[in-house]
Order: sequence, then structure tokens, then C-alpha cells
Amino acid sequence: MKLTQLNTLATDKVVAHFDFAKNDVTHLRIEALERFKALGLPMAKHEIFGKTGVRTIYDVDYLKDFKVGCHCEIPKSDNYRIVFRKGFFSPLQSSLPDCVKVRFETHPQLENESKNPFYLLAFALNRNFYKIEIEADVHLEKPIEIVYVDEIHASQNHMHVSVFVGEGSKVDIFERILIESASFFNHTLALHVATRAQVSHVHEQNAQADTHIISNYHYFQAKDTKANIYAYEKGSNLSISVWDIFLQGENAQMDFVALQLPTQEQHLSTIIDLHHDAPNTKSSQLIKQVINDAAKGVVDAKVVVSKNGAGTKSSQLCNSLILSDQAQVQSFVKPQLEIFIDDLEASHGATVGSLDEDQIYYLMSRGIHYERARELLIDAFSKQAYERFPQYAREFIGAK
Amino acid sequence: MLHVKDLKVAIDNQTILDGLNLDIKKGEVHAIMGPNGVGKSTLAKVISAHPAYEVLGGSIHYKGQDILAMDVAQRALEGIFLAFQAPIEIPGVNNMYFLKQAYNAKRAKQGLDEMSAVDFLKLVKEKTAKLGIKADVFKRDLNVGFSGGEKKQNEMLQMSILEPELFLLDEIDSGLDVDALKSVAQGVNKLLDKNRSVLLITHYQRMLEYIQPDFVHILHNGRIARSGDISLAREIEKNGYAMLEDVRSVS
Repeated sequence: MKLTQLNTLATDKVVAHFDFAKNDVTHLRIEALERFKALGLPMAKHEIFGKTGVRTIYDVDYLKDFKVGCHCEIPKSDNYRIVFRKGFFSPLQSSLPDCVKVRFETHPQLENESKNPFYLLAFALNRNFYKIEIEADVHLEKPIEIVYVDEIHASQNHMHVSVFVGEGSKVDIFERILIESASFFNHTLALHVATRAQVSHVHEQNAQADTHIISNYHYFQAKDTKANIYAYEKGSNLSISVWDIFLQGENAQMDFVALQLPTQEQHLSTIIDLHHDAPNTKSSQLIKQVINDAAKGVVDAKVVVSKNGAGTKSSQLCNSLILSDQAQVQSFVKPQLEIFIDDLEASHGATVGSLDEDQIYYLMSRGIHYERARELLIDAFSKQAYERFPQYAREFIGAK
Repeated sequence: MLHVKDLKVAIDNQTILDGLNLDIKKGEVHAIMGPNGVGKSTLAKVISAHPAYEVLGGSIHYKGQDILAMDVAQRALEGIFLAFQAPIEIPGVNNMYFLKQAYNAKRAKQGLDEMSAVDFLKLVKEKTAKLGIKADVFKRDLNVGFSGGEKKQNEMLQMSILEPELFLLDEIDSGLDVDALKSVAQGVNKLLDKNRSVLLITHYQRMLEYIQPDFVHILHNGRIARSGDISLAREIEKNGYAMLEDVRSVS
């Protein structure tokens, strides 16, 4: 079924098409679907999705295929693991310590404020609402991988997963989107970080080149929490990551590092909506973009400091490196700051440039060939972001 | 070793070199002097294939082969080394890593395998000790935050590791105090032997007290106006470049 059909068909027909069992959450699915239809599919001037190229997938005829049972190879790992295959939790491929549980979420919360139609779609059409519970005061010695796999061509797969990190816990989440089919993957991950908890979260998007991916992240951080988020965007044909982050408790702190590497015909977007909604909260963002060939890269990062955000510290830096000749149309970078108080420290900036000819000349003058010289300079540009990624993820994202 | 014939060069449609001839034989040290903006650095950059300069006519032969069609890296691998007046800073590229890349590019050209990291470190330590260079230069990013003297020393280190045959020294004395100048010149002298040649570009005679030239050329109006030995440099030091006006009236 095409996204345009999902948007125009009567709600009961969509529900019938996806063949959901009637249960306690059916009314929530229907409500989400109604809201999705009311919002409509985002068009060129849409606040969130306007520049993302999402319209190119509206008429792709995705199947509703939910075949299960075939085995999908995933890379070996010594980490803890939660595997979702085609939207279903796969316990046989997962391994977890006792303090971490994966359950069905029986009372999922549909956010009233969200204007993101794909979040609503994921809420309406996911196979099961899952929640991952991490107990309080747990310090896990190795990361928990959350792995999404899908190998069915032309399918569509919607997911809604919530993660609850208990008070005072410290956890590394390594989220890996390893989709190996020309499919549409639309998922929501909502993280609820309880008081004093610390989360390091790597989002690795390295899917097959003809995949369409929309990732909707909702972060809710309570008092004295710390989140370090690292986003690595390399694969897929179209990928949009929407990060809605709410610093809701005093002293909550969030650091965001993203590396976006589109090539060929790829269109990759990182959209951030960060809310400082409590006193003395801190955030920093470093986003590095390397755009090659006819690819497009979008960074739309907004920081909102509400009236509750006295003492906020916020910094934002986007650096783009354009490697081909179509710079103006390829890179769209928009750092924004909306402030409703005076008592804060905030900075934001963006740079867009190409490789420095003098630097290439210098390297070549020592016998290093042109292509290698370029590689060295591109690596040097990305290094500032690569170096910030935690050790457990670095070998998977090509860090040197 | 180097044979430059009737070389015409322009940058941004402005002719800089206009029929320049120069011959450098194996083991010879040639100094090029001249006032600002006369095209001294242009000559060095054109020999090393800087892409901004357009060769309008003439030829450059190096070790018997026409090198005009070769790019910067190919010429470097043939043994031409340009020591920069202002070495370029490259943040994010570690100096040691860069040196190893350059060294292994040379080995690849010679049909040799890459040198192991351990052996390369040994080589660098040996070279830095010989040149009296502080070891931390190669631990930092390439030329980033280096003092003027450190930048020039780093150029020396690269030279000593890559062992080129033709040194193009482009005003390596600029921005150096007397002690730094001496140490850089000593570094160059240690690298020289009867198989290596030097084209030394300088404003001032003082550099020539440390690196003794066999020939001194004065560049004027895009070509070599006068050639001689060290006494020509002393004459320039005494009378300034104004004496070139007489040359022009004669020619």
C-alpha cells in the first residue's frame, strides 16, 4: 500500500488491510491514524519534512508483508542484544541480563503535541508496542544493542518502542539499523531517562542503498540526567532522523554528535528539536556533514529555551564539507535558536566549505596522490566527530 | 638534472615568467635572487606543478624527461621537493601519519612494500636526532600551531625522510631569527651530496652565507637578468636591486 493510499483510504479499510487483532490498544491506533490523516502527508513547505525529500516515497507501493520465520543473518557480537525482525521482537537472537526486560507495552502514550505524521503512522501501524525496562541503579558493563533487521523486498515496517532507564542507572545503547531490503522502515524510539540516569546512545544507520528510513526519537530527560547521543548516517536511499529531545528536569544534560555522509543519490536528513524546559540544563550539538556526488544532506536543528529554562547553556555547531560541484542545492543547514528568557548562554554557528586546494597541493607535493590527499583531508574533517563516538561503536562506523 | 627552456608562465592572465632559461646540473647549488613580486616563488611552484600557474610556453626537463604533463605528486615522486616559504597547516592530519603516507608513496613508486609502523618510527627518531629536532613535532597535527622555526624544521624532516634529488627551497629563511636560520641551513647542508641539487630562492644574501651557492642568478622582468657567483649576491647586498636598471638598459 502506498503512503498516499494510507492517507486517503477510510480508517477502517487501512486497519483491515493491516489485519490487526482487536485489543486494548486498537482505539489508540485508530486515533493515531485519524490524526495522521488530518495532518496529511508533508508537502514542500512542511515545517519538519519540507527539505527532506520525503515526497519521493509517497507513491512507492510497499507491501504489508509480515512474513516471519526465515532466519536473517546478523553480525556476531559479544554485547547484550535486543533484535527486532520485521517489527517483531526476536528472543532467540537476543540476549539480555536479568535487569533488562523486553515486554509488550499495554498502555502506550500517544503524544498529544506531535505534529510528525510519521510518528503517528508508526504508532498506528506497528505490529506490537514494545517496552524495554532497565532497572534502577544498574551499571551495565557492556552495551545493549538494539538491532532492526528486515529482509523482505518492498515491505513496509512500522515500529514503536519505548525504553525506560531506571533511576541512577548507567547504560550504553547501540542502536543499529541493518535493513537489507528495498523497504520502508518507519520507527519510533521513545527514551524515558529517570533521575540521575546516564545514557550513551549510538544510532548507526548503515542500511542497504535502496532503503527508505524514518526514525522518530523522543527523549525525555529527568533531573540530573545525562545523555550522550551519537548519530551515524551513512546508508539508505532516503533517511530522516527526527530527534525531539526534552530536558525536563533540573541539571539535565545532553550532548549530540552527528556524522552524516551521503553519497551518490542519497538524501539524508537530521532534524533536531531540543527543548530546554528546566533550570540549569545543558546541551551541545556538533553535526558534521560530508556530501559527495549528487547526494543531499539536510540539518535542521532547533533549540528552544522555554521560560522554565533559566541558566541554560546551549551550543550548536554544524560543519558541512561539499565534495562535488552542486553545493547550493545539496546542503541545507539551518541552526535555530528560540529563546524565551534572558538568563542563558547560547551559541550557534554553521560553516559550509569545500576541500582546501592549498592543503591538497601541499600533501601532493610530498608524493601523495590526489585521491589519497583528498581522503586524508576528508578524514581530518570527520575526525572531530568520529573521535567523540564511544569505543564500542567505533569499529562499526569506519573510525580510524 | 634540471633544464628549463624559454619558460613562459602566467597566473590569472598575468604573465610572471617570460622566457626564463636555467640549467642545474647534479650536485650544483643555484640561488635565485630578486626583488619582491618578480616571480622567484613562481619559478619554484611551477617546477613543482602548482595548479594555479599556467605554463604558456617553453619546457621543463628533469633528469632527461619532460615533466610538464606530470602532476604535483608525480613530480615529487620523481625526486623534486619544494620546501615551502609558509608550510600549510592541516588540522586533523597527524604529522607522523602524513610522513608515513608520503614515505610509503615513495616506496610504492620504487616497487617496495610499505614500511611497518615500528620501523618507520625508528627511521623518524633517527632523522630527528640527526637534525636536532624536538620529537614532539611529529606527534602533532601537520604544521598546526608550529612556530616559524618548527615549520621549517618540519620541512627539513620531510626532506631528510623522502631524500629528494632536487631541492626547491622557497625563501625558507623568511620569518626565522639568526639561530633558527643557521639550524635550518645546517639541516639542508647535512642532506646535500654530489647527487643532489638545490634551487635556493631568497631575498637576502645572509642565507647564502650558510648554504653556499655555486651560481647566483638575478631574476628580473620574468627572466634571468644576470648570473654569477656569490660575489653577485654581495654586490646586490651592497647596491640593492636598483643596479638591475643598468642591466635592462644594456640588454
